[in-house]
Amino acid sequence: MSLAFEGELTVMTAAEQHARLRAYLRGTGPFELDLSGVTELDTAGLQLLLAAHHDARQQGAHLTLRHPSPAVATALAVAHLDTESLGDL
Amino acid sequence: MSDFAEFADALETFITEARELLQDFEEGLLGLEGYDDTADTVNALFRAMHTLKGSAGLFGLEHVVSFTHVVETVLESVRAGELPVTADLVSALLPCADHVSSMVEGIASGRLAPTASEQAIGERLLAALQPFLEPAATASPVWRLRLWFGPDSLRNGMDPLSFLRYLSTMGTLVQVATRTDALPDLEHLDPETCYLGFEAALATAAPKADIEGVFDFVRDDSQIEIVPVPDDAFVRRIEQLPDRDRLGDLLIESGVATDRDISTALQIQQQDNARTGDGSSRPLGEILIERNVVQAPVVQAALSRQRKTAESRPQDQTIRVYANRLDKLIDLVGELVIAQSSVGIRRVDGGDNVDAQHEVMRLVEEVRHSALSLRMVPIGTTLRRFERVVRDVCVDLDKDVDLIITGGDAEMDKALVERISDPLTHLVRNALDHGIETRAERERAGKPVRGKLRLNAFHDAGSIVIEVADDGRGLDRDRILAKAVGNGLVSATATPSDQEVYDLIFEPGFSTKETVSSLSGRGVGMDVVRRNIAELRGTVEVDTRAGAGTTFRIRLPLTLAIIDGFLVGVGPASYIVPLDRVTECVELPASCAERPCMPLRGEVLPFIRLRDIFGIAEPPPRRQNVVVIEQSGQRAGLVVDVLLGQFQTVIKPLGGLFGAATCIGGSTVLGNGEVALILDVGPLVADHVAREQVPVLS
Repeated sequence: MSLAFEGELTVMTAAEQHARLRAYLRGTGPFELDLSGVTELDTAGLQLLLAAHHDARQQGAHLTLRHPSPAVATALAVAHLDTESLGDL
Repeated sequence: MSDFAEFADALETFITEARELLQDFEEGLLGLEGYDDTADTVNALFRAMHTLKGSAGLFGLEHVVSFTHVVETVLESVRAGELPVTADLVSALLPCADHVSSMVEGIASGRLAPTASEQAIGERLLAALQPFLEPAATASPVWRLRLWFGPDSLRNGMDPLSFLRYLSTMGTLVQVATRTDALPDLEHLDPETCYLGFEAALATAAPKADIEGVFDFVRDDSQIEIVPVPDDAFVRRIEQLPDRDRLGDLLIESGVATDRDISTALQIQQQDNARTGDGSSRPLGEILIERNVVQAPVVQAALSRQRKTAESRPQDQTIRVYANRLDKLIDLVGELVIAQSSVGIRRVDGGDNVDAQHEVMRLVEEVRHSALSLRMVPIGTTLRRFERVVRDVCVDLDKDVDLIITGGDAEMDKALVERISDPLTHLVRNALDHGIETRAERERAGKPVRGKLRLNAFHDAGSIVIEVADDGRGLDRDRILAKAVGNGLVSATATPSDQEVYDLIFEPGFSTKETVSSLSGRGVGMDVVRRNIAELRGTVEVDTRAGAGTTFRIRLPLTLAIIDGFLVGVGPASYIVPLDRVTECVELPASCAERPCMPLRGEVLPFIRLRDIFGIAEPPPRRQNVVVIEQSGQRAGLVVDVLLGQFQTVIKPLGGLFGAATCIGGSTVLGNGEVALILDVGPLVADHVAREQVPVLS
């Protein structure tokens, strides 16, 4: 059961998405985030994804980022990251 | 002298000149390797090759031209800072100098074309230069950036990722690392606070100030560190900078540090000073290294560049002089020594030593003339070089033109001869190309089929005048005006006089299309011609008659060092007017004291009041005088207080600070130790005329 994001994943929507992530990660893994519908990603979104990774790792579960939209891929590329390497940070 | 003898004579000059240039070239190259004064040396090397190429072109020595052209191109990119000076480059260039030498020696022994083996060597050497001709994108210096944005950045709409994106447009982000050290658990995370930091390596040619400028809006609450990665790029840049006296200037200009870095470091230095109180402070470089602004090797490079600036001395240039003139000068100095000692002897009859003093003055005058004549060379050699140019251009353009050279005996300063050669070449080529018509056109106009190009030189009132005259179609007034209106140089409604229209061809941005050839090298417009001549304190004017031809007249001072001046006084100040510009002096008629002009033998003489120009507040005396000056046929009267007489004037150039003061040609020191300004009559009159006339030009 994956969690899908739609629209912006930015500081404008961060509070709402933060709440959704926390609720989702209270369940049981493996976790999966579907990024195919994300139209914009900024640093706030990026740090949410990173924190989600850390959280899952602490639970001993695995979190995967699926289907990064072009907006996500370009934003990550600026920081020389991709959906794989993000999990290692 | 027969044509052939003249050619051989000129060729002889070329060979002597080429040998000297090549020797300088080799020495310069070796100096480069030792990292001597790089920028100046590179310039000298480039000029040497450029001159060689140009002179070889005049003699049609194609093999020398094509070879030196490549070497020149390589040096040009070094000069432009696109190509670094490396040991490899020097070792590639050294054999090139040898090769040119051997070609020149071949010419000296009468071989005007290359041998097969010379050709082979040449090709091999040029192949070795190939890698330098297309320098790989020179490695930009790399900066290490540490970016910790303030916690509120995101809320303020500052997204660190977009800063990174912007940085990547300034250069290449070689590496980016995201630092999550400060990122809390998902539980405790405030989604609108910025926790991430970034470390990045940015390769860019932009100076530090530009990189820092990116972070202007976030600097106050963020931690931004920008440090150059130790690298040769900055060391090389610093070595190529022009002379600077101050370490800070060198660092800022090389782009490795910003104004702010330097002033912060200077503040620290001052605080140190105040604390220790004994005036011993740490050097600026040390503070910068300690604060991690720059690294030691960069500071070292800047320090040694600074040292070289201090040591840099005028170039050791040589000139050839006639031995008999040098002998004469030494004779004169001998006589002067004798005359001077007789001034000191007290005469038995108790009389004064007026005779002896007069003798000393006469000798000083002669020594001056003699010393200046050392630098004088006849202009004929330079003018005769154009026979070749005319011949070649005529072949290219399929025109018949006779070159007539007169006044080749006129002498002028050697430095001037060298520097007038380029503008002259341009004028000659222009005359052949645009001035003289094709055979068919000439026939239709009823002129002789063979065109005439006249080069004439003569002395005139302390100047040398060089004329380039053709019997071609003359300047087309309407076409020039139309083009000037099109370029916005003249407003469409203006009705300028003919002379004003013709003068437009010297305006920047008016140059007609000039094909760049191996001969004229990098094509220049007439504005460059005028500027080059103005740099020699000369003028150029054009005289044209439709259908009958155009004459360009270059007027240059004979020498750049000493002039005969006419000393005048206005209030407490003294001024020098070049004597050769003064035609007469008259008293200012009381009736004209308030008027802008006076009648002089039936003509109106406009006034230029030095009192107004130099803002002298002191009221004029009861009687004033007028010095009548003439420049290019225009007369004007300088209104002054007193006439102080003739004065031998040693010109001291004014500093760069006074570059904008066009009416002043320099300064001199008077016998009483006071300083007098030398008036530059040309601009003074032109300025005045321009102000008097209703402006027709836009």
